[in-house]
Amino acid sequence: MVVKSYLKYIFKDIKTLASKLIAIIMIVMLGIGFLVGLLTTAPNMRFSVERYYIDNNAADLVIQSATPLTESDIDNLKQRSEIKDVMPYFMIDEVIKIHDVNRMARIMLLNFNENIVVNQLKLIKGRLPNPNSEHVEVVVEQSQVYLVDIEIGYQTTVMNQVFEVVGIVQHPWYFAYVQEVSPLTQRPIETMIYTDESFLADKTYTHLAVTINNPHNYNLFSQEYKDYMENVVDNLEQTYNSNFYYTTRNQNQSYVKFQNDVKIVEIIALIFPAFFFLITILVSMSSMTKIVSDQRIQIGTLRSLGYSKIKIMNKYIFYALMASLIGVLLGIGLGIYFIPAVIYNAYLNSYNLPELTIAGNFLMISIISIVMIVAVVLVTMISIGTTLNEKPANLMRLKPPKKGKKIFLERLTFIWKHLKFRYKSTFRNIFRNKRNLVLTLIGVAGSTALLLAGFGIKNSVDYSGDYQYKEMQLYDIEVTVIPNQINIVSLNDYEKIYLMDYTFKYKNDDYINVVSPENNLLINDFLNFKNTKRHEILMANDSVLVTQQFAIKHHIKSGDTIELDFQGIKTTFKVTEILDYYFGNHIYISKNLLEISYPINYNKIYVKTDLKDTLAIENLRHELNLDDNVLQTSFDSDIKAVFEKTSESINSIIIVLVVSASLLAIIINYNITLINISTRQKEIATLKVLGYSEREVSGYVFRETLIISSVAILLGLGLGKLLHWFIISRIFLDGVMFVNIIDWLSYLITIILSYAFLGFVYFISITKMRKIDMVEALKSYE
Amino acid sequence: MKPMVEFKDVMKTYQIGTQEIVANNNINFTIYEGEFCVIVGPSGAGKTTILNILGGMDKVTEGKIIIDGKDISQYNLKDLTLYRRHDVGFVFQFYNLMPQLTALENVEIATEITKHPLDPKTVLEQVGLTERIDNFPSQLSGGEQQRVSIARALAKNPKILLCDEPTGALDVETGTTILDLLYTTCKTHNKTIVLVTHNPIITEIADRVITVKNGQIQSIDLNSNPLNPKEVQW
Repeated sequence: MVVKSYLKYIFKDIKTLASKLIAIIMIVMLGIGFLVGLLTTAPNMRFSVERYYIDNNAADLVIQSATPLTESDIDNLKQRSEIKDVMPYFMIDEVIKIHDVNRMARIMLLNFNENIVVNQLKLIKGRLPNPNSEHVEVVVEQSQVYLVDIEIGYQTTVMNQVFEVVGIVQHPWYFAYVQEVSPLTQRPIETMIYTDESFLADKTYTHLAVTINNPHNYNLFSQEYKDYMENVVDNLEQTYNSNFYYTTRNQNQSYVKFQNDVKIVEIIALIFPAFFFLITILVSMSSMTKIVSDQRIQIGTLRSLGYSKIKIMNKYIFYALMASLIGVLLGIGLGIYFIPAVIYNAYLNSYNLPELTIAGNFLMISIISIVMIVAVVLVTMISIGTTLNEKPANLMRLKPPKKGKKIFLERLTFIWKHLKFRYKSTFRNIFRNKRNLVLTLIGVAGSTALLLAGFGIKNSVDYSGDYQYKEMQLYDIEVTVIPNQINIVSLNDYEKIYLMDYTFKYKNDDYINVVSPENNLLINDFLNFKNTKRHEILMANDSVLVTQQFAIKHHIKSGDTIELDFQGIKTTFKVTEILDYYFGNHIYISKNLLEISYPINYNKIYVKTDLKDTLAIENLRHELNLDDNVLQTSFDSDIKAVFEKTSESINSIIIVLVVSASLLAIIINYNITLINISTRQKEIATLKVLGYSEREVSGYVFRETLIISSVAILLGLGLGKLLHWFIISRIFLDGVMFVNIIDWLSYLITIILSYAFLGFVYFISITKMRKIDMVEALKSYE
Repeated sequence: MKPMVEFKDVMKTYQIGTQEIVANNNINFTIYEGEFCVIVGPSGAGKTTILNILGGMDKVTEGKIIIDGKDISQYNLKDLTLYRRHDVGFVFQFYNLMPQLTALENVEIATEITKHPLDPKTVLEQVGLTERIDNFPSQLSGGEQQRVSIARALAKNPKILLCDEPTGALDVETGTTILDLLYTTCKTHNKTIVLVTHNPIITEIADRVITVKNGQIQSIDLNSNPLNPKEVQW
């Protein structure tokens, strides 16, 4: 009977408290939604590509042999316990004519009679080649930035045989838009062609695509997996002679690029959790405290009727539990797919990615959810605890308003006496309600910081690109040629400089491109060098210039000596400057220093064309492609286009960041203002009776929010700068780093947005205040 | 004598759902400048409605209310705000002081927005709070808080002073001193005072007694010999 009426009482109350409980549900939902969404994005991205690897039985390792592989080699490998599947194939990089242009093609001969075991081709369009057809049927790799578009039905002659394209496929190792380079000639691959091995009369295999048993089920992007693979390769190297050349995924460009991009997503996402938890807890706490203080009289009545503290507390714990549970479930539903999909899809501009697969991430989601629910319940227990400890008789009365007292500022009479009266009142109020003060400070400062960090990351990415490709690199084309074959006819009319660019070994395990120009004076027209203090520097006879990231990684400072190793010849150099540089690792060494120990063979040309016309650029590209001495051409405009795509992808995370920070800011402001108004109804009504206009009343209430928020926004800008620096310094991938810079416009937009959210809430609160009846002023506290 | 407050055929109805409830009907009275008028009646009689209308907090449904020659029943919300600001001083039963403001500041909150205010310090001295002007409400007794509330109303230099059960929350002794303060103000400064109460004893100090019952005026009596609050047997 008692239990029944008690339960009835609980549920009856839910109706009256609905609006406040909904506030808790909303904030928990948003908090969990963004947390779950952002924290699972990177794991989901990896999981999707892992599934793609597994579904297509992608190779863990490709073994290339200098001599043709024999059946016994293959059988021998198959016997090894660490090896799962082995698929031998023949691969050659060959120049062929496509649409009348010479293109570097990678031709792979596979056994289409049987199922392809390793590196299965995913058919995008058309069909797979029929090995028994009259002329040679081929499938080609899906086109992308670096791979030409070839339509089904296209025919061309290769090695005196007619090739007909019957399908478009995707190879699991080539899903990123990156430039694959032919290892022998250093020329970029422009198409990949797959056909049946019957194309060659004598079966010779040059390559083995190998899958490895993954006994510990290592995540394919984990360090454990990479270590394990390294171990496998070491073992293989010990067994077999140096005839084999091993390529693991870690040397596969698609894998590396994807891993780097996901890492950026992960680093940016990591800045959310602490702040989101804090805000959710603070907002729940203020809502729950309000519920309890609204129900003082009921609590008092129950206490005087003999209900135990625990029984009363249970009711509110039940509310908190229900509200947070509903919020958590809604949040998971909202965030688990939506946010990862938005970010993942943004990366489709630089990958041919499979569909996004949502991994369970059960453990992570459970932990986030449980911590959130426990936090809300704990906070509720604390706020009820203080109320329940009051005497029942006291509880029967409404809580009197907090006492006013002098604040610190008043002791500074020289300031205080010059303050307008309304500001004196505002300042006292600010310090009267410390909980609101803290909530506003943290909430507004936090969301401002997130906004600024978001815009700042965008600035950093864009600025790094602009600096590197517009400000620093003054040349338009970088042409790689056969060493010492530097006389390229089509470049005769253009301003150019010859350079030597070779990979040197540093400290046994790292490599660095050493670049040396033919002329120390001339190079300054092609590269606008700046040191890390952004002071312009010129290359001189004693110059050894190390790019920033490499210097940071190896703790190299200007004045240090470094030892470089080229084909066993070791030489030490004294570093003269560290360069402000964001993409790539290089050391620029003056020719006269380098030629003491090494022969100078020019293999690179920087060219300034000033060509604006697309047709003229394409013509030059065409001519260079036709030149046998040219191995690779890299147009500045192409690199910029690729960079812009990366920048666009990063934008998607920033949008999620900005939207979530904005929503949080609005919720926090709204919550604080509502509590502010409802606890001060009587004050507001009294002011109205005294003849204050609507505007003056709202000014009276809102002025303090405005002042606290302004301080919070200022704090938030500082915090945002710090947060931005933290993120930027953590994005330190191989050959990629971003400049630590925030544009003044980002500060401005952040400030404007922060005040706009305040303004939005101000208008809502004005309508709330208008509804307060002056008759409230006549009511008692008792 | 100059009429300060005139109610002419005033009716006030409230719409609750589809039902129309008549709060006041056929209200007619005149209060003259400098009069101490007490509106008395049991709770629910409709005296609060009269107070709300007179205080510019609510609008009439029908009829006219002339305050110092101006018909406030025609005022819009903005005019009513200005009316409350400049012409009415309001003394609340529960004082309604701002807890974060000192006594002086609580008076200033009213004088800040009025055209011809009195000096807040002087008014606080008049109500006997010279020593307490820098104290917060929580540091003042109930009687002292009500004095601040009266000082706040007076400092606006209003045409009429409206008091809603000003002694309702006070003990008899303190209540008497508050009534004495209002009485003295009325007599020495020729201020028109309208006091609403359910306590019939207070009518003994009034010049004019308006008795309200069931939303209508039951009687209007002129007191030929109003007593000084100190002489009243409480």
